[in-house]
Amino acid sequence: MNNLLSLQNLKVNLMSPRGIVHAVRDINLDIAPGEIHGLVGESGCGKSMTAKSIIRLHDEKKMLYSGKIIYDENRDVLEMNKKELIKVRGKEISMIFQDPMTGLNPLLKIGKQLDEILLQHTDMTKQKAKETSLQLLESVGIFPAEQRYQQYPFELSGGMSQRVSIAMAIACNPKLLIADEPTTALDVTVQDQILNLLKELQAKNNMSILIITHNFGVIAEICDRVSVMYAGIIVESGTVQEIFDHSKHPYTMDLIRSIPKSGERGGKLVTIPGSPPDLREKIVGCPYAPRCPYVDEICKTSAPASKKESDTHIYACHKDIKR
Amino acid sequence: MEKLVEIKELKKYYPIGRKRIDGKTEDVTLKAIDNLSFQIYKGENLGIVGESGCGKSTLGRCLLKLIEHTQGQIIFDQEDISTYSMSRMRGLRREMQMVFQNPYSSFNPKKTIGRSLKDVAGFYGLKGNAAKERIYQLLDYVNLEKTVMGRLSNELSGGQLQRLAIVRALIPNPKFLVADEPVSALDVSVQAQILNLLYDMKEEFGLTMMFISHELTVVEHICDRVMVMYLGSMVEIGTTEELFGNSMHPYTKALIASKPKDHPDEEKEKVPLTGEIPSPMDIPSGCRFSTRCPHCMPGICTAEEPPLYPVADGHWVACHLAKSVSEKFQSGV
Repeated sequence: MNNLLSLQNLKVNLMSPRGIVHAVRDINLDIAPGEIHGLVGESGCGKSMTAKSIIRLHDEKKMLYSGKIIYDENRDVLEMNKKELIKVRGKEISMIFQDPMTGLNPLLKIGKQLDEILLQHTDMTKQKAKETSLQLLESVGIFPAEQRYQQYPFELSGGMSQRVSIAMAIACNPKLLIADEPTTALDVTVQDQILNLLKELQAKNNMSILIITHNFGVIAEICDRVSVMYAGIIVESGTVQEIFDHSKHPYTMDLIRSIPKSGERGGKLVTIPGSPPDLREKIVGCPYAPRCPYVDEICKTSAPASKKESDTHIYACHKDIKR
Repeated sequence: MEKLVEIKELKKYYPIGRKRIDGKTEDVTLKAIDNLSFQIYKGENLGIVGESGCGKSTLGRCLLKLIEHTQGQIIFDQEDISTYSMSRMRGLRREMQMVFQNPYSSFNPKKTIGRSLKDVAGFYGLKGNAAKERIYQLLDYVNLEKTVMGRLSNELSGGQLQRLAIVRALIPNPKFLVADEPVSALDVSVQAQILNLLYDMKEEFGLTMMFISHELTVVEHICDRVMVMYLGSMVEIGTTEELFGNSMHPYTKALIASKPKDHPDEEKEKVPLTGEIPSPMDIPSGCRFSTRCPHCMPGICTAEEPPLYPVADGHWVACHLAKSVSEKFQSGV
């Protein structure tokens, strides 16, 4: 199957006043057309960095990229000039963020913000753009669309604003939607609604979604495939069943076991001792070695290569741990 | 069971301003807590759940009198503290402490952690070596090195800071602890550390806890009893087993159904819950939940506010549909 997006040996370095932060250290990630791919990890593991790099949203004066971001089989996002990039961004690849309020301009009515995207990326007339905007609002479950079209972002609740950002993101029928923690700021009931909406839109428009989250519940709810990130690398990647039932990397196992499950009362949760490594420093060996319960001598000296468990399942660990 | 905290008809209204409706000017009030009565027993952990804007955080703050309530009684350890002034409350503060959601904003960024903790100890009459000893003992308990004393808050991680916030709350050896979303700002692996700590602490220090959270699995894991709030009032209360196993209120059912799956293969029961929580400035008449309820009975639910019906031991539900179940329970059938 041809991939819609393929990250090849991507490295992202960030210049900070306190040294170079190696936020993303050599990752490979493929997204097939029509799939919902989850990228999961703790804060500071580089998952948002990866997501933003795909459409180069960073301040590029402070960034150093290497590797390839191949979009649509032969176009490298990192090689594009500004003009080409603007054409792709928002039209073919779009993004929604964690805090829906900061994604919207507080000074403009939401209708105007929606129209703007359509006018920028298509040759619609203003009248046609308005009609399309109204349809978009309805398709993300905002009623009455006509009235909401005239409102400012502050007049909407968190869930409504997230719906508006989704409407903006899908306005030009993108092939890939990147959702960076789209439901973290929302209540469970609203989270459920938004996840259902994303699933529906994905099926209707046959787009791919890359969803960034730290919540395994969100992964279980909507993803087809999952990649687990730790300290700037992908430690394990597989279908959602493989990750939940047959995970091979100790970090994935520990993460899944540390979440309280429904129907469980009291008792000890599994905790992961220590904290993630400083991404400014060079990491020798496996990045998870200092916290891993199965650590061996080899783990401390050499970085594990990717091993293949099945056609869809890869993991980076020296050992072959049986659960 | 002995009560530690008792709340009677608690109200917290915020005046918002005036509005002209049909030519008349009316006061607009935001009813954050509306007529809430319940008890917290000694040694238990009561969970409070609900969506944002349901008044759960306001409730925590009212209980500790960090904000003044509008009406009603707060009885703490058989003492009616509702009318206590702020200065009179100071003496009682050692008995009741709070841990907040955001550990980063819980510490003064310009003071070292040691300074912050010693100031608190000093406030409760612990000076010099006595203060140091108490702090070291607690740091050891939460598994932190003594060296954190010399650090500033921005040098520490969220998990470390939340543990320090717990240390600070434990310094005066309180009886009652309110934890307001203590793990929602933390990563899953760190969340597990804090939950284990809170769970053990209750036994170790004989604490009574009120645990405010919007995450149902967390509440199910750690609490003995759970109260569900909607728009400033209680819709259901019961033991954790009762509430999660045998919930009666449509809102509780919807909340439980909307929590994300534990496993991708899990079949999910769909309870349609549309829309969002209405504004607390304009509370629906009759049952507060009637505007979103899939079982709303027009004429009854929209007209009459349901009382709390007992449906099992210690299990109360504010829903008209629970009436017949309640009659059966009360007649002992």
